[in-house]
Amino acid sequence: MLDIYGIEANRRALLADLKQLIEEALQPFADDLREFLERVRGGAFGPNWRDAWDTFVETQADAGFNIEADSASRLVQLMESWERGHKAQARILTKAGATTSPTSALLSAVQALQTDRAIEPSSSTFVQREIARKPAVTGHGFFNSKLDEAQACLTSIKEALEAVGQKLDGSEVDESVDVDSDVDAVEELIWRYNDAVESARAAWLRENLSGNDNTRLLQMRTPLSLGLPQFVDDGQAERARRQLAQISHRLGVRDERQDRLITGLRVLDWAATAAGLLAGGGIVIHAAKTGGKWAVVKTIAIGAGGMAIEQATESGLRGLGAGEQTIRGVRLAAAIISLIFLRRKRGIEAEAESKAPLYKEGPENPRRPRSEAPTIEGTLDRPRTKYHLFLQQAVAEEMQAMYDYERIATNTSMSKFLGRKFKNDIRPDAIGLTRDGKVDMVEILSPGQTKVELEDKLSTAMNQLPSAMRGEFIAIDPKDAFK
Amino acid sequence: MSDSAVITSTALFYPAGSDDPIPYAWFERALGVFEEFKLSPILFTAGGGPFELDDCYLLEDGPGEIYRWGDPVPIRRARESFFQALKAQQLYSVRLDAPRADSQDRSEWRATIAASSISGKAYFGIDQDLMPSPTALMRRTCEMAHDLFPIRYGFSYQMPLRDLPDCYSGGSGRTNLADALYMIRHRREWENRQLTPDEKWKKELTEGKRHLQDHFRGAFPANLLSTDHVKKADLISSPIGTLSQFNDELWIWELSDSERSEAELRLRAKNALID
Repeated sequence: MLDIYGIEANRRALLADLKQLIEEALQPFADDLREFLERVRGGAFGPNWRDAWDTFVETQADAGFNIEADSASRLVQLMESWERGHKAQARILTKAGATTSPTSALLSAVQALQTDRAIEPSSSTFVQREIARKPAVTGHGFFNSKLDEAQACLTSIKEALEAVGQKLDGSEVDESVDVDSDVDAVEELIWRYNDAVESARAAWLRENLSGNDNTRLLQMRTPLSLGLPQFVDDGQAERARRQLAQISHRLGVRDERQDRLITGLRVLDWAATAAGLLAGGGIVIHAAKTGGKWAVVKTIAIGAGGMAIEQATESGLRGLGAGEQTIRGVRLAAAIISLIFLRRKRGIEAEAESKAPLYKEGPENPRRPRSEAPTIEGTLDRPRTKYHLFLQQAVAEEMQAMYDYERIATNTSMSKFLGRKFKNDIRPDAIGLTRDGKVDMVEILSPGQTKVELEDKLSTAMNQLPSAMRGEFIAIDPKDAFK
Repeated sequence: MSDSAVITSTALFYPAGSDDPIPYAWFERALGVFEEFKLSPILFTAGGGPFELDDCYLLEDGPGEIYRWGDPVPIRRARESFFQALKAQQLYSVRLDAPRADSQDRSEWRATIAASSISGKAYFGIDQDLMPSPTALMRRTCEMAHDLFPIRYGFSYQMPLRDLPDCYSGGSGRTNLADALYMIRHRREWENRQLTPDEKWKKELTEGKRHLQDHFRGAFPANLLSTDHVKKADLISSPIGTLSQFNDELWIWELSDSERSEAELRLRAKNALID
């Protein structure tokens, strides 16, 4: 009797083997292309990168790898966008199917790769030829090399953050400091860190490496430990989640550090807390009027040492050998960069979601879906008149619904909200921090209060802030509220 | 609400540090006005010392708390501590007011006298039936304040109580929920919006402060001017209305309704208007 199930199982095993063989055969090309793209992005070839690209294409063709014209064209487009420094365009390419990252670009190219007619159609011949050309590092060695690569990325991230911290320290109050290229560099390093770790996890799964190796993976420091988002690429985050689930399944255990990493998938939301840190430090982030480049302005002469810091971040920095001075600068830089990541991401999402309604409904700014809304901090006021709580809540919820507000609180003191001590520390009914670092305050009048004096109080409180952070203040009389 | 009530108001402006103390002598003079017109009870709000600008107190001493206007928060009696804080020069803002008999909340008053170093302003508003002349009120307010505050500019006007005449002096007005929600919904455009004349005045009080040099908010029934204002508007060689000297440094400029539009045109032509 024909064993149908056995044949099917054999076919599957053969296909799996074939897939692995093809992947291994393509590895040298993948490594070369990745290295080449990274060099282009790093500016190694300067304006002559097109010549270098032509040489690369010819060399690969000689080695048996012809890059399909369409893939080559998309890669050239990508490199052109890097050359112009237009990260935004690179992101658009990503959305359209191309990528900003070398590895994603590589995957795209590899999918369309056609083998040269000089290569034997036999997969075994193909593999033998390629292995002979450049032996692939496999197994434990590959795993270790990826961990080293990830570690090197972390070290580079720390150095980049230090540089931003020093740049900010050296700037004058109200001087605009361009951090656009620093943000790009850190974004790229976080991407590469995760790429290396992803490769290490893939090797662990493929090679059936030991539980100890997985422990080493989990013990690695992460961008989170530097106060940065764990991921800057949703695709990477999703793949990490799947890999971690597979590893857990295979080991039959669940390690809390894996849970922590999965929790870290939502770090772009987490980065919103950085807003308070910067507000307290008198740092305002803005996209410059021309060119849309991100810059920061130090609005008061406050030392980074005066700011709060998350414990895990400090421990992560100490783990990387940072001293006190470095920690102060790095935590500030990490908060700035996290927030810019957040704004870039939210800006793109908000634009995408709101474009059509905007044209239809007029010039109202985009509203965020409830699922993305930040929590309203604080509590509602003590019972006053019947309208007081309703108005307080209505104002806070409106701020919550608008993308322009990053944090909202009710009945919360300025000191608590901004993480800084204020002499005139008032507790407005609603307080909001806008995306451009301004503080808005709203008060609801009680029957015994006077509007003039309440506005004087809000004005005095507002004037304690650096001018760039002074937003709007409004005192609403419930008697007039619904007129 | 006394919908028909009309208030005669005077606002005087002077340069001040935000925590400059309010002189005790000014308070005594203000108290004299309440006694003269037999206005009671007297409520007060103060900033500085033990007082917060968002609280309401009764200018009396004695036991017990007073609940009014449906507010679950009581109005406390605090005459003695208020006097002590004034004498100790702890207060940078003081407001005294007498509520109307049918008032529903604090904004419905018969008279309000206030001075604030935050805005550099002394304000006196009183029922029109008690003080019908803006010029008379201007003189009275100047008498109370001129030797205690370095007054540079002021104006007198009349408007219904429902339009918040005390707020008008500082460029503020009624704010409803829709105003707040509009600001929140259009946050990015809000700061670049076209300001109303009142908003421009409010901004001037804290930023430009040109009214303390030689600029005008407008042409009011009675205006208190410095010599620089008089020169800027060319009121000596080309007079409009009645100009009289209050003291060596200050002038009172009176305008009838028919003269006010001509005066406004003059101020605009002289680039002396804040708008």
